[in-house]
Amino acid sequence: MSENNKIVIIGIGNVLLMDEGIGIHVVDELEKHKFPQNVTLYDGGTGGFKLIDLMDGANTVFFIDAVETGKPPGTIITFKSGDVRTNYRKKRYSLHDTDLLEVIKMVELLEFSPDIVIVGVQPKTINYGTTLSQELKDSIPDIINTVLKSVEKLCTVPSV
Amino acid sequence: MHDFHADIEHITRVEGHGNIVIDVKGGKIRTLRMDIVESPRFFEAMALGRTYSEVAHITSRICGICAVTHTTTSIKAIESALDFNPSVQTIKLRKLLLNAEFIQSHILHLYFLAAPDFFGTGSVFGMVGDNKEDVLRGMRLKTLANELCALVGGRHIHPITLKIGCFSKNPEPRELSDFKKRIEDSRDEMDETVKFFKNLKIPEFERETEYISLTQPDEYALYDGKIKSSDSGEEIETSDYLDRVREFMVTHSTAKHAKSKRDSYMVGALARFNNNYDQLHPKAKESAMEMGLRHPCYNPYMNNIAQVVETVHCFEESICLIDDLISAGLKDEKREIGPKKGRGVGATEAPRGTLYHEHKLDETGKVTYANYIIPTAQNLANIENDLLSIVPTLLNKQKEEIIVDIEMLVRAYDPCISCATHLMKVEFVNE
Repeated sequence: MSENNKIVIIGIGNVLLMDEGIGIHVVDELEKHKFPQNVTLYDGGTGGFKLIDLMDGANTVFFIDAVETGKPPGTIITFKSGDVRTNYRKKRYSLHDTDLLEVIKMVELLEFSPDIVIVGVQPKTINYGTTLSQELKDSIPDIINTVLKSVEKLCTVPSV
Repeated sequence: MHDFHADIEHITRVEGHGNIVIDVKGGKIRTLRMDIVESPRFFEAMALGRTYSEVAHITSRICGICAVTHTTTSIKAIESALDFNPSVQTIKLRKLLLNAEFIQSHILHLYFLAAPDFFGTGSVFGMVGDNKEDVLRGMRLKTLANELCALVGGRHIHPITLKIGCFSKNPEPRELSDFKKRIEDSRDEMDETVKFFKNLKIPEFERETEYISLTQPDEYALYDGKIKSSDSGEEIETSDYLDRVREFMVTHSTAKHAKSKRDSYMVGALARFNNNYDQLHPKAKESAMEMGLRHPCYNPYMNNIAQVVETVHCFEESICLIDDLISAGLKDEKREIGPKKGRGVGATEAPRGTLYHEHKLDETGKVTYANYIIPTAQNLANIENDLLSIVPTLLNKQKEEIIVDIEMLVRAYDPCISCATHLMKVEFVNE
């Protein structure tokens, strides 16, 4: 394990909008696991550009978030920002209207970009409420497994 | 241009919301409407039946940018319902946290959203090329404020140490003292910020309106105060907020609009500047003078400059609060309060205007009634009135220029839209 390899895991979303908050629910569950000292967990909520400060000094950042891909609810899709087409709307009226890809774009432009991996989960229901849909509740063990395996891979010193 | 139609894009991620529609025929405005805010009514419904100690956890999630203000206002409403007055230490810690939120929110809005308009770059991403140092300055100031928020609030996104009647964990005096030095060392960056915004050409437009904010006789009211209207100078208790904030429905919007003595009013930095100029820190007054913001000011575009002035004020105020906290010594004040039957109203200035929370509790401490009035809902009618006033003066411009002016005006209000959702929709490159 490399202690200098700083890994940050950030769950994002809004827990008041059912499946939109999947990232936060997953981080709550991950808190129950024991991680090496070089791994830090954050509840990023709907922090928008505030998320940038959580990434400071990290070599690798994992974001766990609800992602609309058109696939069945609970489907887990792991990707990097470069894997998706970006369509940054030029005009903004509010800081509240910032999505994760824009935060990542800003970090990349400012040239202190860590390796960023997005663990996306297809939501079923985004509506006012504090509970997850059954499909997303059922997907939590698989999401955790995906994150743990990815982190484990990064924390393992390759055998000589 | 006697005929002009603009349907200015869908501006939130919630479908069916978020358009500004303007239709001018023969030089006369036939249609002008705007709907850019999510109604908080669903969040109010979520609070019902919850125990009083749970409510602030819910309201802190309404907004990721103004989480401190929502949490503080919620707690104040509950404490009022419980007839509990927090200690001086708790109030000072809350004020320090609120100052941190003002700095980070104003700085983000100013550098990331407002400034790009003046450089014609469309977005902050376009500014990074020629104005990278300015963007980095904004980032450093934002980080400073976020770290102050984390020091007092436990973390900078959705802070967790704010509790009814206390803080669950106090910062160490040494940490506060170190942070004071960091703020002092960053004064140069604030001076540069004032110079940067001084050089931006703010559009000329004036429309005097009613300005509403909290007010205090001996401080620039952010944390608490009576509700003041610029129209009469009259000040009323926050518990009587519905006498001042009269909400009404309009057919074109899912959000309630608000009026008071006239058909619209303004809240936010410019309203506070107009109502409470005397209580600003002298350094903030100097910065206003330097940037050409004169009291009173009726140009809504100058709300941006009023935000810079308030940021200077919050810098200085944070230093004073840290001094006070250190000299008084921090005590552990953790306690359990309630339950008790009652009604309470909390009002706090959020970066974008006065926020109201009202709660009613039954004997067991369960919430039986909740009412939240957010700043942007209060500003909607005023933005529409500004647009009605400014659009006829713009008709000699090209359509694209008119749209830029309109968008800049709306952005100057720093509206809170779509706080609630940020869902990312993706399309893969290789599919």
